[in-house]
Amino acid sequence: MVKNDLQEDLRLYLKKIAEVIKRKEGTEVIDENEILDRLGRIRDYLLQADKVISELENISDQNFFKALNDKYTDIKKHFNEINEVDSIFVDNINKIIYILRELENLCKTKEDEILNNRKVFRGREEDAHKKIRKKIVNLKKIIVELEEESLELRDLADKMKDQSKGITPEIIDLLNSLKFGGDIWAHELVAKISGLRSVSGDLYSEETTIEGVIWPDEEE
Amino acid sequence: MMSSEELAKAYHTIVEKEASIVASSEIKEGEWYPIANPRYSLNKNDLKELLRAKGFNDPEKMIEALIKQGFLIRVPNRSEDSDSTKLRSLHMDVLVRSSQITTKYGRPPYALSCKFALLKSQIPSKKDRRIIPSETGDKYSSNLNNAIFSFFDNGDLAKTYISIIKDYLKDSGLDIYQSTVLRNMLQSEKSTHALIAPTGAGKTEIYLFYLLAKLIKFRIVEREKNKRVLLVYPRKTLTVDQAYRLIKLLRIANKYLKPYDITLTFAIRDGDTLKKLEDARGPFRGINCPNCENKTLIFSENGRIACENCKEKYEFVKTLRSETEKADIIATNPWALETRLVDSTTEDVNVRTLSNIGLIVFDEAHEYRGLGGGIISSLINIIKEMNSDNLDLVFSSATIPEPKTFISKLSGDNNCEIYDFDESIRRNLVGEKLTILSYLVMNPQYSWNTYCQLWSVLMAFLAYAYERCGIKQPPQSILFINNLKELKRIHSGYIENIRLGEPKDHLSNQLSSLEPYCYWHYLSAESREEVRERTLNGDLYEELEKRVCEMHSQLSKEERRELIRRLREGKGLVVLSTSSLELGVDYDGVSFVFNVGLDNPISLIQRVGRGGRRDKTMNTVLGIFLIRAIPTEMLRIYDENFIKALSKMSGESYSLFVTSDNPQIRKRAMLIESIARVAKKGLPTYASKGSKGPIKSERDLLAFIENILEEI
Repeated sequence: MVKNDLQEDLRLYLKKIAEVIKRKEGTEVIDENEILDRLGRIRDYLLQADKVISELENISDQNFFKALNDKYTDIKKHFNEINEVDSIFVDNINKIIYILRELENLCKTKEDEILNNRKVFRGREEDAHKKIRKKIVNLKKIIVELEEESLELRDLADKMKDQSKGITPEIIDLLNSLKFGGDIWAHELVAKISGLRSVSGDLYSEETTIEGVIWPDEEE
Repeated sequence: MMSSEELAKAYHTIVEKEASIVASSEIKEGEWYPIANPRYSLNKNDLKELLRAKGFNDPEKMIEALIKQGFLIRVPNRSEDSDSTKLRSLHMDVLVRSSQITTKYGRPPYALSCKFALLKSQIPSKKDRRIIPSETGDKYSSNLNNAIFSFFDNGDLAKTYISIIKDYLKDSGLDIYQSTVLRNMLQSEKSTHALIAPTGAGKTEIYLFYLLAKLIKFRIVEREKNKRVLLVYPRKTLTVDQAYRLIKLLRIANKYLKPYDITLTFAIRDGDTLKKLEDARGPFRGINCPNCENKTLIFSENGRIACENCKEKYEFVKTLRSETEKADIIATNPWALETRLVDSTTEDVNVRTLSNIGLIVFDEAHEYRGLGGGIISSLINIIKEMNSDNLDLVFSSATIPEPKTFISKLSGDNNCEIYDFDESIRRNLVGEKLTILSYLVMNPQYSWNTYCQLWSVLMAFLAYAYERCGIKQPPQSILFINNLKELKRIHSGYIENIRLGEPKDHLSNQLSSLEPYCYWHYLSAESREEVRERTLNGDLYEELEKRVCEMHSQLSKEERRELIRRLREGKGLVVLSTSSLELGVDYDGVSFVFNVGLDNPISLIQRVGRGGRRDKTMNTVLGIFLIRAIPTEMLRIYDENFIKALSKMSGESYSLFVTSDNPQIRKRAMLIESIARVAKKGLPTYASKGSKGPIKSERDLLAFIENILEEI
């Protein structure tokens, strides 16, 4: 890179930080902790759903249970693939929302079926159906909560991605720390922007962007 | 009366003779030889003959003097014998015993193989340091005298400057290298100078005298009130070490400059510089008083420093951050320099201070390699641009291969002047330094860390034994290891060893002192039995425990200062150190340097260079490199170029890079330059409280970024 390119690069980078600050003014700051909180809540709801589904195994018909369990296992699989806010994150959340809706439909169909047949059964069978319905209603509530949390999470992730477009996570951290009462010294800003920091006199690189090299004979 | 130089030369002659006996072959300088005969001894009469044949006067007296000072050791067969005609030199004796260290008598040693090499080099001695600028002296004296007169173009001022030099050097003078380089620098039209000379060649005096000349010229001849001098050191220990000399020089200079109504001031600006007056108490960075040289300087009233012993006041040393900006000479480090450059405060060294610099000195310039070198190079460029007038740069180092290329890249000046310590200088020097190098290859079955513990036991016991024999400054050792965890393991293992009674087995009277396992011969005959008893009873623990110390960044400032003070006083220490003690600091009584692993040759040269300084060590150092049983180290001994360069203590096989073209470095430089411009306008830059730092709101950050954008 020649000097002018580097200069332009630096200028663009600083402009981006300025834009992010301007955009953030008056809007809600996205804190990674909020995302973690929501993930924690989803985990709790999944545990509750776990319990309800295992209870349904003993009282409902096998076809319904199997369909329910397959969808639920799918949700858990996608949830376990979530580690950090990256491009896969939103994909997984989308898939979870889709399956939750399927699960909701499945429950609704079963509930309708029970409601339609409520005059047919009496005695022990009627009690059993009541129990199943109660569990399904519970499960539906959990599914609604899960869906709500997942939608919030998707929005947060989208906002976060949008806000930080082109800016390194270190800078986003700095901006967030300012919002929450932290402070920044000039040398910290220099280290974050340049990607080089000094630890007891030894330099460390924070940036690991690797760009392809064009060998002279490959140049057009 | 025999001089210390003569005695050192006689000692070197003996070691050379001894080396050929140990190797069982003729010895050539700079070549590796195995230890073929570890149970050797020298006959006193043979030594006398040898010295006589080599032209030394009164060999008998010389040998007795060397025995008395502990540089020649008697090696009797039985521990009861007080007199013996069998002798060994201290350094070779330690080498041979180090090569054969083992846990139990008769067991195979830790080292699979051991090779050694000798290297003699000419370094200035007291006798060489006799040149004082004068009209009537020899060509060196008169040439320097003329250069000083033409530099100042003012006879009175030139005479004052010469008086300052004379007073500083007291009974001594400059050597050929120092006087030639100082003369050339004063006469040179060039603005970049590099002093490339071995450790102990007196580079510091050269640049100190040069900066003094420049400063006097700025203030008195050119009437420049604000031009300053900057000294950049890569390590704090080095800054403090050099600060002593600078304070000493300024104390003298200010006395002579009184008629001109100027006082030259000095400040150290780093992380330890005081923020508030309330903190000004206790010792001042562990620096000794240059007047009485007895006690350390302390803070007195108003943050000024004084000597608690002789009460001398050093008003010209500025200690508070708010005063450093006004100092004529500012010592700092690269990271503080970068921060100061982007600071707009008026209460500290700031961008305006750095826009008025006439000279920058970079000591230990080889440290500024790689990315660090790139940053320094960019800072130099920025400071050059900030300073409208000519800016002089001086670089100093003992170890820069291809100095012209390196310094040109670092300074950005292709027209730099290199002052080499070349053959024409060497052949005119009387002083001589002997370096004994050795590498030990560890047996993979044994622990190298345990070896280091046992080596520490040997060296600590040696120092203890010498002290018992009445030797005031027993030999000291530094063991360098880069890994802090391993360093602590060595120390704790050492403590465990002495707690178990080490070196009790080495003191057995069943052993002959020619056995490498034996240590009792370091003691005087009359104390051997008593010390053996004490060791067996575990009574030696305290004596040995206090001798081995750690030196690394985790120690507090006070602990480090205290250790350096004890090392300077020659308390017979064995210091386990990381790279903290590697650079340019003078510790007179270090005779043994041990390095764990094979680092880059520049670092090895620097480390071995810490030993063998001055007469207290007979200008002799034993440098041992421990090669651990790991492929990266084991394979290096088969690298012919590396091992050959090592035997000659040459860094030529190694290249120093300055990564100034790295895009990240260049981007950082642009950012620093832009912020420096913002600072120069007096706008907030958030580099310190005085420049409204830190940034506390997004609005401030936005305004700051917009200000930077305007300057890019």
